[in-house]
Amino acid sequence: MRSKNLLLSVIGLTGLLYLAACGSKETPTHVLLPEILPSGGSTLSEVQIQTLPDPKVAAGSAAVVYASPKLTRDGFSGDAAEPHLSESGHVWIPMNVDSSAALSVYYAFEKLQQFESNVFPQSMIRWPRKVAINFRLLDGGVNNAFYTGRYDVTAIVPYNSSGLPVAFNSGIVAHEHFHAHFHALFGSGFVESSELHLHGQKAQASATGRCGLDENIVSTDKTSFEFIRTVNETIYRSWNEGLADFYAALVTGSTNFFDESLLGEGRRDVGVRDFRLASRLEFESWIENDIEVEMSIGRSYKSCESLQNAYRQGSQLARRTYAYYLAKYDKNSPSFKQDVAKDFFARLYESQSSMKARASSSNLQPSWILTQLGISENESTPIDAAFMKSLPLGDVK
Amino acid sequence: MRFIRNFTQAFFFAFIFWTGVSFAEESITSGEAKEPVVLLASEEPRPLKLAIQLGLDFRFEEPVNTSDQKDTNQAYELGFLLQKKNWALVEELIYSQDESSGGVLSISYQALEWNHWVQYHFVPEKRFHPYLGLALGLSANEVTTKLSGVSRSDQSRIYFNYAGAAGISYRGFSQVEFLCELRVWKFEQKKDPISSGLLSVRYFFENY
Repeated sequence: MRSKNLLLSVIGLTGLLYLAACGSKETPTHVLLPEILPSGGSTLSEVQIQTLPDPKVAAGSAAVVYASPKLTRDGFSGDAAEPHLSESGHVWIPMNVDSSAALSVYYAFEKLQQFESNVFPQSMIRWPRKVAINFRLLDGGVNNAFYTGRYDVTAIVPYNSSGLPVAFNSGIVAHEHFHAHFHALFGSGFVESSELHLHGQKAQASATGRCGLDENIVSTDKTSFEFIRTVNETIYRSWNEGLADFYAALVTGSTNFFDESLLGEGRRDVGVRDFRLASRLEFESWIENDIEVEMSIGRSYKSCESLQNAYRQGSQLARRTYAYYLAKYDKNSPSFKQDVAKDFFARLYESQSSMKARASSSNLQPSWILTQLGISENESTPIDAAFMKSLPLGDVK
Repeated sequence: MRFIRNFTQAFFFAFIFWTGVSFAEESITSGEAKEPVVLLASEEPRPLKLAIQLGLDFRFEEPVNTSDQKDTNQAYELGFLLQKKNWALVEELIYSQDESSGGVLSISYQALEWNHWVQYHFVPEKRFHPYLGLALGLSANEVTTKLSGVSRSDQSRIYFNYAGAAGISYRGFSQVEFLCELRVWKFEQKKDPISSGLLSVRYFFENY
């Protein structure tokens, strides 16, 4: 009798659990993801991803996210990443960091797509974007991301530092995404010798073996076609990096987004008040030095002075552009980001032909891009010091 | 990957081989009935046998499906078996946990599964015999997400699981069997099926 009661109790309990399993199906509408904060740091947020039909497959109208794929002639190999998720009430909970990264990257691209559909209708890039997480470089490089125009793909490489992994840093994602716009707008005129935009001279040099310089350039003759083209490409690189920094700071509202992941002690903080842009002569001397060093000791990232300085100049351009738009538009307006982005993209779009026409010019100045954006080329500090002090840099909503 | 493929192939051929051998032996002995099967005292068939089993279930899955990267997570198994002739019922509890981290973010989970197995054992009186199984079960998990020291735990709803298995049992001692089982799982919360390999020890209660 006792064993019969025990058996009935077990059957009853089992039945109740199965009923609970059948009855507890509430389809989640949100996903738990880390987000960077405009004021610095990051937080866990329950976000709504609107264009993903099934969160268990990271592919929708905004992006197709691949997990550690191979890069082939046709782009990334394999199928879209399928994150492991758990349902908890109205929220999908990623069950591991890679699953969370796949959805975080998708979400970042969805926000960019929604933002740009209003501010840049002439955009020439194709959606959905192709993006990889945990992309493994042959040299084992980590803590980086790149866009390559040759395949029109964005990749985030593995992360082993102590900050927020790059895949969760929507600023770095936006930065890489901007390279796609820049390539679509100006790529056919200025084709850089290295289209692989790895950040940091060491990463770039070890991945490409040529620290951003054309592998055929051996002469320091400043009147030669190769030298002029190399100088222009390095200037172009600084514009590409700088405007990508500016755009990422604009869309995220965080001027120092790089430091959340790459711990660079503010070296690329767009909110810093330092606007000096180098002259063409300085670009020429950096490249001259790199060629001489490479000729004497062989290619090494230590000789990538021009690439390093291209990034530094990019940061200066980003700061100057950011300060210019803060002064031009009402930072407290709810449409601040949209107004700035419309103005910015419209000017870039209009400057396509004039920029391409200068691709081979021997007197292209690094500050020329400022005139295209409507910023005075000659003023070293476009905004007076008192106004600058009043700016809430890093806190733009 | 190669290890998993080789292991699966080896297991499959071993299973087919032992099933064939078991059936051949059974048909010889039952068809001619010249010599009755000699059973040890401890192997005398009882109407109902009760056993407890402990094991490790090695699960082969990717952190994100379609990734080239593979992980093997181990889950801990506790089971109770009721067996009558060739048929057995196994009530099984499985506990698993895993943790992944990157920089300031770490995500860990603990999962508990309760599975009801029906197994068919081919010639169970043999020391070495194969078996097949089907399972229906429930599972739930708790995911803990930590970001920069801030932690949050989320309890999942209850999910259904389904599984199929093929295994080989070896009676090492009079009351002890060793099991090697290949399983294919379909968890409701996971898009694709996953495979696993179970290694467990089963102890039969003598005086039940």
